[in-house]
Amino acid sequence: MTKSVKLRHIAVIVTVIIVAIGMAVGTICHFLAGGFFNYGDEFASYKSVEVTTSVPEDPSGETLQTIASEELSSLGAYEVSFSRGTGYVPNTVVYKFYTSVDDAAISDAVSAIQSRFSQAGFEDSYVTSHVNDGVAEGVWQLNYVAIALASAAVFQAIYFAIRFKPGMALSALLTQLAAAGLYASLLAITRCPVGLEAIAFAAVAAIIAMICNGIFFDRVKKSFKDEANAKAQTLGLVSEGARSTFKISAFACIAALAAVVIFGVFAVIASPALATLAPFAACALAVVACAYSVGMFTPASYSLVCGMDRRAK
Amino acid sequence: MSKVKSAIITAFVVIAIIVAAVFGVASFNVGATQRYNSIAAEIPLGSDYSGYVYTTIYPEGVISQSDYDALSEEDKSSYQQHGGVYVSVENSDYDDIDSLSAAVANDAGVLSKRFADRGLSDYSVTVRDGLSITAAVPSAYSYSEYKGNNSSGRSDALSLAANTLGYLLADGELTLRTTDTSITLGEDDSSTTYDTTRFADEYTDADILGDGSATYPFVGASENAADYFSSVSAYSFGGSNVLSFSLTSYGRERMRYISSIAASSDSQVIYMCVGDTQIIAITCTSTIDSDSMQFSMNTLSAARDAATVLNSVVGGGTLSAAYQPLGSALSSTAAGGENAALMAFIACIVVLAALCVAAIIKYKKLGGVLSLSFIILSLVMLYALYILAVQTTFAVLATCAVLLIVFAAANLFTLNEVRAQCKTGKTMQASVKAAYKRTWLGVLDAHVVMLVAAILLATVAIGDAAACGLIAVVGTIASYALWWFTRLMWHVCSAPQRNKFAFGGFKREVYGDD
Repeated sequence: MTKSVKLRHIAVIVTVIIVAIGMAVGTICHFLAGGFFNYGDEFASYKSVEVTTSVPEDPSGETLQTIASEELSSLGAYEVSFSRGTGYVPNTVVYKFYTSVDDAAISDAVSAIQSRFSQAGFEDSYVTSHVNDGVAEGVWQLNYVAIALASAAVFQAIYFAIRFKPGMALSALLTQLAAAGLYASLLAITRCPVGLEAIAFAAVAAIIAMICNGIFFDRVKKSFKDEANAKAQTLGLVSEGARSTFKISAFACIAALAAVVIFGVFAVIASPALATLAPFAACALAVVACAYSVGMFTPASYSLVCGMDRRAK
Repeated sequence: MSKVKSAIITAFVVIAIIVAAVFGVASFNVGATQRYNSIAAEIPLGSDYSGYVYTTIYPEGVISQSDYDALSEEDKSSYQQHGGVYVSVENSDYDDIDSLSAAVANDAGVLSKRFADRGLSDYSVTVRDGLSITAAVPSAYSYSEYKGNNSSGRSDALSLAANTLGYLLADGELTLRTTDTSITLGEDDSSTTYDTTRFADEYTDADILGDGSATYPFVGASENAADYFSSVSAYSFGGSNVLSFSLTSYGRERMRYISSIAASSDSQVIYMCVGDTQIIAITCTSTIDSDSMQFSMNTLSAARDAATVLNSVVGGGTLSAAYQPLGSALSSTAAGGENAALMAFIACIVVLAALCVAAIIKYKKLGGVLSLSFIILSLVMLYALYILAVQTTFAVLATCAVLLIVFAAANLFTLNEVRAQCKTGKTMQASVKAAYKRTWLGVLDAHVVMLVAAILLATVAIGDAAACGLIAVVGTIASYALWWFTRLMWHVCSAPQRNKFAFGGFKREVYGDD
């Protein structure tokens, strides 16, 4: 018997515990750290320093970038963006910082940049620090994705109920719930920044879970129908199905994780900034949640469902 | 199948793939002045790879550091610093900074909803220093535009993005306006003739048309033009980009009346504006009397921008504070660096190559057939991204990678079954037939469920997730079709081989004499 079936109670309990810890951490952070998740700058607050130089004084914006980098890079900006000026539109560089960065340090850096501009004789150059508040209404986008994914999960359950068995449909539904819960919990626990792309990764994880579940239940159903297995134990057949499809699920999840790593490595080559890695971390968490759900939770939950219904086979 | 047939079909397929791949990924000069940009180089890039176009709007009474420095010492005295901006309560429409700040925060929420409704792959709306709003949308230029290898250049894409900001940040009520001062309203309206002094208010100050000419509203002060419309939508049909209005019964009655007087005026134009921003100029040569109105716009992007802001205003989403005219829109580099798009493209090639190499190592020559399918699926998704004009972000690329992996997993499922069948002593042909028979329903189940999930994502979700759903719809259909194509090509390519088992690296169970 495979471990996922043998340790089915533990697999379900572990899932529940991780989700519970995630919910607890998220709830505490909601009250103490500004949000259930660590929202990305689409939704959250951040500090920024905006430095500009006029095009006649600094045609390429090179001086601007050098001075800004020398004075601000030590503060640990999580994102730096530069826009080249044209005509009356000045060169602008924006450094974004988490709200935890000290105001005094930012203020000192701003003063240092101002004095260096004065020394360089730049008269049309400005440096300002800002506090930026994300708009909470943006989070409502989550609702649309949640509705889409919930509808897809319900459709999957109905389809499986018709094609396979109601127990399998229930198990598939539980798996999607577990994957979503684990992903949300991992995001809450790790405080990985949640931007719009993190929402899209939930969809990616759901798609992987769907195909793995489809293959697993197809195999189990065939085992049930096989006359050669007439006297076999239900749990044994579920276990055999899990064993024979484990390679496929493992391949899908490991390959997806490897793809994320490859994309991450090349992204770091393009820019070593901290913010560059945030989407890859969120994507990796989505794949991990999905891998655990399809590898451990699906066989475990279906074993339990079978255990409740003696006629399951 | 004969060797000749097999060779011809294989050669045909390989040539087709090579041609599609060359046009898909290779850019090259054609002659001395012309250049062919590959499909990959023409795909619009999302914010991850192209950066943002952003601007900041300031309510009346709030100015930036540079504007403050340009003031005289006397004017400066009425302003006080508030974070990185300067505020003068007496120049604003509010009694104190707190109420102004509350109005700005409320407006940011309205704008955030507008941007979400616009269906962009990414955006951000933030309240800066509590008294101004910064909004950003993806630059969305392609790699060829970024490199200057496209005739339209990067500026066109940036202009489109800046126009989107201009439309979506429009503040004020919906008004229908005219440049004619001679229009007579008739007896069914309380007033007789629009005179320039009656409406010499905030609306006539604005240079809406950009040529200095004043405009005057068709709609009386007690009326709200937003009540005329129930919804506004945008779509593209037969090469035309259409902005479509659904009118309420009251709106139909009023539009019939307004269009009749506009048609008899000198200019024959109704300017539809949100605050000081002109959304569309409607030329009326006859009376409009219908439950809906459709107008053509230059680009689909402009039509969508207009539909979004009009829907917002019709639904009560007007901004409460009055804002200064929009300043310059700035374009930032991608957060992932200048080479982020190129590196992401290389990463895609590496993922594809890794899958092909793994398939060849595990399944020998059959791995080559699988590699053909992987490449075709990749090309299908590449061309789909281009045709559907999906803004490519990391999430979209991750979805493409997952679809490729899902396709590989479906094939792995089948090939494992083939291996199992071979071990029962069947011939290769019988094993393949039995394996496909045993697995096709499972593969179909998975693809059907994935397809419905993708359709739901594409239609219900917004932003990145919707883009992922759209590409997943194409990828899922292609994945299932290619699953069967793999079997066909397996049959074609293995036909000339003597040892069919060695072709796929399979082993047949050999029974003893007894």
